[in-house]
Amino acid sequence: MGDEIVYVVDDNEEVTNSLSWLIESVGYHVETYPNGLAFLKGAKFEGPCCAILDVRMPVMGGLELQEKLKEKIAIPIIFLTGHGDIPMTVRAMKGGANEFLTKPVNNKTLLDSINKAISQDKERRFQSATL
Amino acid sequence: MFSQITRYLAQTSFRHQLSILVFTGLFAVVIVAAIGASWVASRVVAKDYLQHGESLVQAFAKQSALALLYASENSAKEATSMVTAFHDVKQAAIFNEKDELLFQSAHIQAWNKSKKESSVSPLLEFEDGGFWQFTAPVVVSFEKDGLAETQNKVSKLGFVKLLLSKTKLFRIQKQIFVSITFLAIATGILLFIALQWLLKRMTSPLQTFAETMHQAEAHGAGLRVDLSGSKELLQMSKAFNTMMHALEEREIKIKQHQAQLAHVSRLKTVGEMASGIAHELNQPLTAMVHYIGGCVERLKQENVSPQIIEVMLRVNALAEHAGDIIHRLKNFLRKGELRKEPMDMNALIREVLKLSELELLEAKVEVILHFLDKLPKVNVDKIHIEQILLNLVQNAIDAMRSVEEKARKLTFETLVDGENVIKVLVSDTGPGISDDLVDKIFDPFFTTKESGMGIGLSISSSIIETHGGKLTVESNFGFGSRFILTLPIKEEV
Repeated sequence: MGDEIVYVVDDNEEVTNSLSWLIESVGYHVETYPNGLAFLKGAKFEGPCCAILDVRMPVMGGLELQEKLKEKIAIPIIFLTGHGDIPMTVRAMKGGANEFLTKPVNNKTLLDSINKAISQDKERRFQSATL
Repeated sequence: MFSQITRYLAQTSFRHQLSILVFTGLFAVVIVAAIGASWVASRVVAKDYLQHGESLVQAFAKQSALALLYASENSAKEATSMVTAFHDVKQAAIFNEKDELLFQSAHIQAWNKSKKESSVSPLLEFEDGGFWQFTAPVVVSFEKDGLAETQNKVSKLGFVKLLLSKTKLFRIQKQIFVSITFLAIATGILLFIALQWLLKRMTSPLQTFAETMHQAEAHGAGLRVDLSGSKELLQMSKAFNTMMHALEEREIKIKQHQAQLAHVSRLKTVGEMASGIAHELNQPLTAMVHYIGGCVERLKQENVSPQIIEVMLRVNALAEHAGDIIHRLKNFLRKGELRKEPMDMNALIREVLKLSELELLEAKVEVILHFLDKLPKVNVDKIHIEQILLNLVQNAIDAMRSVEEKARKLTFETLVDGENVIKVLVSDTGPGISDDLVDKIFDPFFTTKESGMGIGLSISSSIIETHGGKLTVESNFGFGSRFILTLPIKEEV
């Protein structure tokens, strides 16, 4: 551990802060962004990473960001939403999301998902490097 | 004067107008008939009187022959007294051949000498306002004896004159006129009464009808007319009853629809409030859960008493439990919300405008429609979309109260944007929304109205999102606002 980055994109500052606090406690780096657009502009995607996206955000929501991100890089995505309805979940999963979790999510569940996502990204990077 | 009469006639009832017309007509007929009949009758009586005068003067002439033959005053007196026995004969006289007066009864006025050929009667010598002066020659005829042919030889002895008074004639004429006029007026009155009765029979159903209509206008439902009368009236009452029935049914439908909308609106309001509260609570709960999670991880690494970690995990579990309750509440509120069916947005807008017709009229808002023909149908819950549109109309009305009446215009425009999206643009000419408020108007509990909860647009926005669409606003501060409703033509998923 050490170079792995978890991107947290959520418009609520308390939520991003608390997520950073939690995720950093298990040794990942965390970068936070208030919305999809800021994330697309700011994130470098160097090294293994994954993204935790809120669904509803001003400027660019999670689902739209997912579409945009696909064109750029195939990093694992974990959705975190306050209100997960079925069509929204289906859409996110179809778009290739790893997880669709509702707030407040159990810490263990979230951390397990992050671990899984990071190792998945490591594998993908390794495969694309060997190809 | 004339214009006053016409104005009065225009304002008064149909029955009144007919009455006036009938009365005037009858009055004219009665007057003409009375005058005409009197004139004819007077003529007949006058002619009779003339004949009476003629026969009197002729008889008088015959009776005077002897008196003139013998120039006997006694005989003359006798003959005269016979004729003056008639009450109308006021003055009689016998003249000889030389135009000398032999005898004259009472002298009332001088004999008129002017000889005028009368066309009325050959024996009528003179006529004035009060008298007729008749004259007749007194002749004797001798039988000529011994001649083969029997021929009468006529010899004139003199002439008689008499003065016949017209007083009685006038009286009779007056009596005739009075009785005929009286009869005519009596007949006229009887006729008028009969016509009035007939008119009442004819027009009273109309009046009942008019009254019922007036009542219907005042307090609506349940009124029917039951008219008897002519065929046209029956048809009219039938048409009226059918119309009332249709109107009532329409009103009931509208009321039901409004009640349904109000119910949905209430449910939505409660739901949205709960949703808003839930969302607001959920965020700090989430932060709490993760902060505690971070603490627990760190404490584990620092070798602290496991009791502290246990307590923190208990706190975490409680926060998660609270989050669970919130989710259950949200799921409950969301249950069975949408009943989608393919709808024509143009028709739906028209329906909404019908529902808010009165308010628009009251606020003197002009509605302008720019509809795209053959607009593709969208799959929506009719009641919910109607609610959004009603809310937008209400907002527009409220916004435009501050501008002058002439400038209050509400425009609906429908269009297809791209392949699978339609747009409904709702523009008003209100004061618009300032830039610093534009971002806030969709937030729950944000309002600029004095009496408003500030959840209309927030609810609308969330309804549209559940339909896979969007509600946005463009505002030109000072010139008006435009709300843009985007809806997918084909439903996703």
